[in-house]
Amino acid sequence: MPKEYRTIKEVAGPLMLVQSVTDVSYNELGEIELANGEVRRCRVLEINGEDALVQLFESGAGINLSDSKVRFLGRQLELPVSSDMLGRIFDGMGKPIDDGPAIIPEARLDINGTPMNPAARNFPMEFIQTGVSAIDGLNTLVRGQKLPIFFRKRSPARESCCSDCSSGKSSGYEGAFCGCLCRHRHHLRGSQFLYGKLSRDRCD
Amino acid sequence: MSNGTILKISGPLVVAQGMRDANMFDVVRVSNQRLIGEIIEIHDDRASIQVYEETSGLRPGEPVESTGVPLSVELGPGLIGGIFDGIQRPLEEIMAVSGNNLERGVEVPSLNRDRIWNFIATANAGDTVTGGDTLGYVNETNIVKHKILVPPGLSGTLVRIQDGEHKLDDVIADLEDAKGQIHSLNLYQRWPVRIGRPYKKKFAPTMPLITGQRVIDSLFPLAKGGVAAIPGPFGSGKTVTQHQLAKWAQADIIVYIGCGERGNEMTDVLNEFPELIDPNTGESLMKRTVLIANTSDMPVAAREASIYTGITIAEYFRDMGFSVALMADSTSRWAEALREMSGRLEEMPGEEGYPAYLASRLAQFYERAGRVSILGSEDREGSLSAIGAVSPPGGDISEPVSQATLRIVKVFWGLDAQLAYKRHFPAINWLTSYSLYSDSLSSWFNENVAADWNAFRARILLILQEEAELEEIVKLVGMDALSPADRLKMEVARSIREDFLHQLAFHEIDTHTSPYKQFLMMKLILLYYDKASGALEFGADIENIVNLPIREKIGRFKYVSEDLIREEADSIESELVHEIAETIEKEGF
Repeated sequence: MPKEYRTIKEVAGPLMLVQSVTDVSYNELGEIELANGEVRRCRVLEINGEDALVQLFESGAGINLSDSKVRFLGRQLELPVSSDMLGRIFDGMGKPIDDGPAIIPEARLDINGTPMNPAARNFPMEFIQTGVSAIDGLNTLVRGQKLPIFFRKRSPARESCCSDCSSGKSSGYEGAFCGCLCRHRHHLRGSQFLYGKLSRDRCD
Repeated sequence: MSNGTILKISGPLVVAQGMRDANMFDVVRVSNQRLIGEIIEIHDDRASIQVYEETSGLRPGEPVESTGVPLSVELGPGLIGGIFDGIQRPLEEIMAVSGNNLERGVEVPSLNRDRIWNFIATANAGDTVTGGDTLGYVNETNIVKHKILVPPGLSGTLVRIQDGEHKLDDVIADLEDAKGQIHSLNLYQRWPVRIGRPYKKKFAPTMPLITGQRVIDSLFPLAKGGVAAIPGPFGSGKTVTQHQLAKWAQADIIVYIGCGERGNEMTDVLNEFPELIDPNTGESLMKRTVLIANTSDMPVAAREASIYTGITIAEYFRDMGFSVALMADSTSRWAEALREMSGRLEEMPGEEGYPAYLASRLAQFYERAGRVSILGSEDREGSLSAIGAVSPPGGDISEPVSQATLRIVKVFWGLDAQLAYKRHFPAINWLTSYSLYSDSLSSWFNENVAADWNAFRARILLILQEEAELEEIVKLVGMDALSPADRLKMEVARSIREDFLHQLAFHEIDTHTSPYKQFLMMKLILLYYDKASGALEFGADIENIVNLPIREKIGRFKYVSEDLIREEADSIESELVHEIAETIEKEGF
């Protein structure tokens, strides 16, 4: 059972200062238990001696300096991963939000990852066919490339992202072509749309 | 040696206590994982340490151990053709140990200890030697004769020197100094990266670093030992220009620092360089190249160190008497790393959040370039030229990193997004760029390439400037309002831009142009201008002059291979004279 601290000293915006902590590591994941039993996640942003500066992943509303408790979990923010994750919808913390069952992890991976060795890279030169002529013909996508799509208000970003994901295929590459979509600060309607559209599209 | 414990952790910055005996800039091993770090500040017994690896999971109370030596690089055979990270860890060998990703706390020696080198001694036992003198050499690649030098600061009599096959750690010579102390010398030496390697004196730069790039060599030349900056917005071709320089610059050794840029670009270098053949030596370009990679996903603190690591390696080769060119892509990412560390240290921010010492740090880096008389008993010369890319956000060079860089460098190759958009590459803007070396280099070009070089260069620049003025008029009243002489000038300027300055990096022949061919190209264009102006005076029609068939050949001259240029230039010249004469005749004058 991890130690519980009731020594929250300050809360300011998404930051919180916890005092007299021992054996807490940098970047460690923590939980805050509110007086009403609600549990919120947080992460250690800086440690200075016995003071830990903590970043809240959720809102600070309702946190009470004297009644809230903080636990540190002894691990970093990890994501349980499994091939069953295909076709599911998750929130920003990796919890399923599609009413489906919990994921049984095959592995737990640190979400920060480790940098790739530049000597181990291959130069991206395999073409990804999206079926969108403006992309394939003029601004070709290449496997292993990072590609942001910039868009303005009211432009059909959702539809264009979606058609890229659903029709992407790469010649000469055996195996599944997995799409992983992240949406920030967007209404739920967006992911419902995507989910609906992607499940209608046949994967070829 | 000093052993302390971690007190504070904030990203790549760790504060440790109990470090009273540690020295500034000592390398320390942090935590049980033995991450590499460097002391950058000491208050009382507290040392601020920048850690070169990811610090997640560290906790207060873990040990910090000082190694007692400053951040140093290993200099010896095995550097050439290697790819190292910002603190000279060999990435190829780390890949063998930890796979495709960089794990933390991996300890691999910078240079391979097991490889056997054939050391050929040139000094003899009993010789009196001083720092910088050559003990012998190792043929590291077919083109690089890696000289083994007496480390700077040592001098005395050689007691023993041993030829033959050695590993890096083997003692190859013993040196007795004036106090009678014996120093054992290995095939490699160490040098702290933040201290420039000493030299006897600096010379004025009077020789150009030929790059094979026409806009650079002809219009804005860089001197051997000079410093240049390539600022430009993204997408304007900084990296391609840097790669072109790394490929074709007439230097003996190239050090390429990929500092905070995309990993795929380093891969491009790694894939392409071994296949490219250096026109001067006929050997693969990789056989003269050292790569330092700190890509954008690698730790920030090591990015700060990477350019020092790179320039120390470059100085080491300079000390052998080589002409070395160093490319840093990009110094903006380096400055951002400096800013991040400075913020963590809670220093007072300067302009745009960069630390107040940004300009002096940049100057310290660039000032290590130069053409110098190297250490040693004989008078020998070596040069180190530095070319830094700057990526100003939004392409606006009024930001601090660009401004601080421009104060130091003497060559400015201003990349222009507009030119890049028009597909004019290299997109170096001829109106804003400058080279302060052009005067001191002019005599070299006149003596070694052709006597008319500088006259031609000046005329070309003048025509381009006049074109910019005429363009203003054309915008207002249209091309037809120009006098025939001005229309001809516009045409010639277009020819200079398209036939001469525009250079295709991916064309087999066009990618590299010798100075003499550059001269011939300038000569043909200007010859056309002179002959056509003459014809206009005789009353020839401007349309006919502009549409002469020979102009096509002048335009295609850049694709003529180097061994045919003289004949081709002669034939174009005589055809040109002939066609102009014909035009004048046809018009009946």
